This record gives sequence, structure tokens and C-alpha cells, in this order.
Amino acid sequence: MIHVMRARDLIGLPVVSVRSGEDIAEIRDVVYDSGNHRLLGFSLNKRGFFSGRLKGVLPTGPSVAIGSAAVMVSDDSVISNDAIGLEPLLDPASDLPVIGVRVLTSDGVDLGVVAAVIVTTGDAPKAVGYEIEAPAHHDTLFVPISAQLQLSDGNLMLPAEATDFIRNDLAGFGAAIASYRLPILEGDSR
Amino acid sequence: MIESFNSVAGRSMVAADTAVDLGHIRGFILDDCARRVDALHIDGHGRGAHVVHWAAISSFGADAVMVRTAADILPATGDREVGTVNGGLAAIGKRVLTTEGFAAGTVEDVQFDPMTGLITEIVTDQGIVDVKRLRSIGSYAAVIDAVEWSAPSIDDIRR
Repeated sequence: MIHVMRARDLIGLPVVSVRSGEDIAEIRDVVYDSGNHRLLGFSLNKRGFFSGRLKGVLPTGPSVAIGSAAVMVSDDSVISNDAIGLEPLLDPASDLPVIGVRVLTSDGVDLGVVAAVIVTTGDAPKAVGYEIEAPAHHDTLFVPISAQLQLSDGNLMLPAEATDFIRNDLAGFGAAIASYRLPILEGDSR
Repeated sequence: MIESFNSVAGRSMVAADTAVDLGHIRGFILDDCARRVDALHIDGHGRGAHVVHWAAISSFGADAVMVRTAADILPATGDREVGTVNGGLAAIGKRVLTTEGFAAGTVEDVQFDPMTGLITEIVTDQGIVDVKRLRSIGSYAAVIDAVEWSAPSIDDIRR
């Protein structure tokens, strides 16, 4: 069983140091590489009302864990100001938006539009799926991310093998993707 | 014998050399690793507070805590002592988070060995947590190791 949550639900959560038990920041936004369907990390706010944006960013990785109550980091050194390779995190506007994009199956069925990115909870969080608002089905659907998932300016193309793993509830989706052999969950660094 | 913060709060502190009452235990200051009681808060607030370090305690009795001498009552110093006497770093009432970021209740009590000051267990409103799982206690939370939950087996249920 893989536990999952909506990435947007992380916004506003405190970032807490495991080493000190202190809340050292809070999640301002989730930074996502939509072209590669990859969770990059988080931009941050200082803690407290009207405290403003924190210069540093939090790249996802083995020192980060996410839950429903907090984003945990091993210590405050995980927050990076200028690490090489973090340019997309520091300038997230360069990525294609994925929210609102139409989702099509490979046989041409319009499932709806992307409403949220779904991420794993616990250590080393990863993006594993999308929540789709599917008005034609009067429902919400959850589809898995795979290497074959293609994103263009306006469409997200779902490969045929992923359709068996579509679910209409988040808990059921977490269970379904555990048996979907995601490269993401098999050592790929997404 | 194991004591708990709630059971010893308010216990008298007495100078062992003069038998003078020094006051009562008001709080507990833990070391940086939250593994041991480092000092007892006896009175005052903030930088005006006074503490007795664990090394100055000659005996942790059932009715009174014996302190070597009244001169062992010292002003609170350092962030941890001042933060605890102000309440920010006090363990009781602290929210508990797992290392995976999930809420795990609130600290209701802390059990410790009165001979050594070592913490043995954290009592939360969701159960008892072995101190081996405790990673830190800070101003925001007490952080404990996440435990992988597994469904009970049929054999477990039959037992």
C-alpha cells in the first residue's frame, strides 16, 4: 500500500526539523516539473502571519518526508539557497502548467482536466498521479504517472496500460499504484 | 522505580545541608537530545527564573527532592533553560509528529528514572511511546520515529 495525498494540500504546512523539533519554514508552493512529471521540491515562506517569502527552497529527496500534518526535514541544512541543479526550483515559472490540462486516453477518450498532482507521503516523496475532474463521468478520477505519459501545451495523453489503474478514490488509487510497476517507485529519481 | 513529570510536579525541594525548604518543582528542563532531565525549574520566569541542575540533586525522594545546598539554585541560562521555563520548550502539552509528518497526538506526561534522570517513556493521548523512538522536543513538536503500521494477522486476532 502506498499512501498518497494531493500536492496542493501541502501548501501552508509547517516544515519541521527532525533534529530540533522546531518549525523552520512553511510550504509556500509545490514546484513541479510537468514535462517530466517530477516533484522537484517546494518554495517556502517564513513561519508566522505576514512573515514573507523565504529565500531558500526545499528540494525533495531522502532527507524530506511529507505527511498530512507537516513536511519533515532532517535538519535546516536541507533548505538550499543556491545549490547547483536547483534552477527550476528557484525559477519555477519556466515549467508548463499542468493544472487545467485536458487528459486524453490513447484511444481518444476525453477523461476531463487535471485538478491536482498526487504525491506519495513519507520519505522521499514523489509524484505518482494526477487527479482529474471528470464532469462527463460526474466524478473525480485518479490516473497514474508513467514514463509514457505525454504532456503538450493543451493535452495530457494517458497510455493504454495505465487505464486499468484509474480509480475514483484517493485511498483506492494508493493501493492500485502499488501494483502498477511505476519506474518512479523502482529507483527512478522522480 | 519510575517517576513521571506529572506525579512529581509540585514536590518539595529541600537543601540537604541545612534542611531549608527551597521551593517546589515547577518544571523539567531536558537536554538537547531530549533523553535526560538536565535541570528542574524551581521558580520565576524567563531570565529571572531559577533552576537546579540534575548534578546538584543528592536524592530524589518520594516526598522531597534533596538538593546539596541552597547555593545550587542558579539563574536559568541558555536558550533551552529559558525556553523551557517560558513554556515554549516544555514537553507536556507538546504536539507529537512522526518523522513522516503525521500527527501522533499530544504529550500528556513523561516518565523518567529518578536515579539517573533518564527519560524512559513519553505518554501521549494516543498511547505510550518508548524513548528510543523520540528524536527531539522543540518549540513546535516532539518528533518520534514513524512506525510502519501492519494489519494484525489472523493469529494475532485469535490471541
